[in-house]
Amino acid sequence: MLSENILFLSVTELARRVRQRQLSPVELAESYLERSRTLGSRLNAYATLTPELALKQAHAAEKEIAAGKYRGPLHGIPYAAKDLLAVQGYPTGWGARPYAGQKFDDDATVIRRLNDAGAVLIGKAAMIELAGGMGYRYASASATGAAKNPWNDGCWTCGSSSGSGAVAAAGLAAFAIGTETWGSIVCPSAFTGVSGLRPTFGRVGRAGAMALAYSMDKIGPLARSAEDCDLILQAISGHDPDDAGSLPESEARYSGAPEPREKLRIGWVTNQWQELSPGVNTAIASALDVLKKIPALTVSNVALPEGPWETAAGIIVSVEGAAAYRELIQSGRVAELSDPMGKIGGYINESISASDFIGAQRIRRIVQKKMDELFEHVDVLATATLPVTASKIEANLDEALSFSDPLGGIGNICGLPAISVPCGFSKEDLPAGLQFVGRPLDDAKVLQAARLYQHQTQWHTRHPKLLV
Amino acid sequence: MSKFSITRRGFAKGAAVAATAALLHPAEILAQSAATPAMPLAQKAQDSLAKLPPASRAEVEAKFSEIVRRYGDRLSADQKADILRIMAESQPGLDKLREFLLHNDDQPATVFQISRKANPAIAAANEKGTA
Repeated sequence: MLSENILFLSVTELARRVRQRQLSPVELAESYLERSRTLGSRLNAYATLTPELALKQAHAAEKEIAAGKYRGPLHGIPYAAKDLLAVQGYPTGWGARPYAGQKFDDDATVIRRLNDAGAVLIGKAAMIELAGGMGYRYASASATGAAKNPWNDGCWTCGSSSGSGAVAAAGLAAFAIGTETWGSIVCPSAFTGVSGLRPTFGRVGRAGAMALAYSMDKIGPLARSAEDCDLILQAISGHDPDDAGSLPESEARYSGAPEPREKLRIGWVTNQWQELSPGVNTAIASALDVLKKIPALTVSNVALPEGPWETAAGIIVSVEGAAAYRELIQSGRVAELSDPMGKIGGYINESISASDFIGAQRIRRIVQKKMDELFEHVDVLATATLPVTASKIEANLDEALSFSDPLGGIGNICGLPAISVPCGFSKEDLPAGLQFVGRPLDDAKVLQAARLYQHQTQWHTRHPKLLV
Repeated sequence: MSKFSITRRGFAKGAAVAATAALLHPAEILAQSAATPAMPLAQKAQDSLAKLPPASRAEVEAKFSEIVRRYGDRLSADQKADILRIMAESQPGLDKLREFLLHNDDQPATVFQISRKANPAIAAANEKGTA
């Protein structure tokens, strides 16, 4: 069993050691598997472990690297994938009891790309049922129970990529793949203190991924640093002919974020959160000070446009979700979901009129234009990822997380790339997140800003003390 | 996921319940379903409904009745009250969305785009100017 010091290394550093044959992919996979069996189980981090596949892939990677065939920085690197990504031969239960044991014949595109990169799949990460598509009120809205936060197991990891957050934060794998329709990558990243990237809509292929909202779902990594997210996005991006929302190859393909040639203009958002909790407030004030001192950045205040963007986003998610799960709703099998809200949310969503849905789509286009205008003046927006630290595991989320999130609504209906990185800790030793949001296809700028911040801070190198 | 399709018997049962529910006011539906008359959830729902202007309230009541007509047989009293409360609390946001000024030429973000697979014969013909 490798030491924690190694298991919490970044992908960048693990890759260097694997390439130089200082670190065995098989030993790495076995160590993460062992940790996932023990700690993963305690944290409810996984839906399924895939040890046979992991060891097969790890042995293959070791053999290839020994033979001088190195595929790139993910070769031999263990990861976990959210349980809504199809993996041939293993159940893909979408976190929901009605779909328990469901299997698919083909790997999801993102899994195939990671296979091609030589990555090693340790397991399927737990998730909120149907990625929260029917609504949910409690952290326990999952077939595998509430995912516990590695920093404090009395707290939640946030959803819907709840297991992916736990995996990345607890060092159960080198990185995890999550998805976001609205908040499901950035929220778990903030609550668990990891770096999570929501790529531009259409950049990562979704064939073989459970659909919640066809026009809003995105796939991205949760990892130890912005630099790691950059490497992972390079491996998983690209046109997917089986995904109607996929961008053409020339736009979908991401080739990495070089050092910025000019100063990045950071727009510090002044009207995102009405109030910050004391822990987040202190952390985010320090983060702003750090950003202001980085020579490669300029920082100015900006305000988001005012409008019913969140309602529009909510209507779009609700209607697309009701269409995606029409048969589950109409058959009454939503009653098998775990959460009281999930059992009834579909009925409410079905009642939204077509006229309101198209109205929301027209408003969506207006906010797209407004945001494009805003990005004429700044390259990247920055603000706290969330106004609070991790909520209690038993909390009623209608109460604990009931705040307005205009940038979340805007970012997700406009398909904007975003990253959340840790920026400090509360008195209770719970992480706070700082988010950077960019123009569509400006994933590189978002990553550059986050990387510059992480060059000046050490928050992303902290990890929870866990007894295996 | 066609395995979850509704059965003909399920539809018939739903239709029978619907025939009754459609004639009832939401307050009556909740009262009929309630185990006890002073159920807190039902009261919350009624309170939320009462805050709405008449047109919005009528819209929520109509939509709620339609949900009960279609699915009432599978919903508990608490679930019905919860649905009514959520719908009433969501309605002000919907009203605001509708107030947002839109012009006739404000297109939706999802504009239809034609699609066809590349056909080498047509591409060649286009190049020759014969297609």
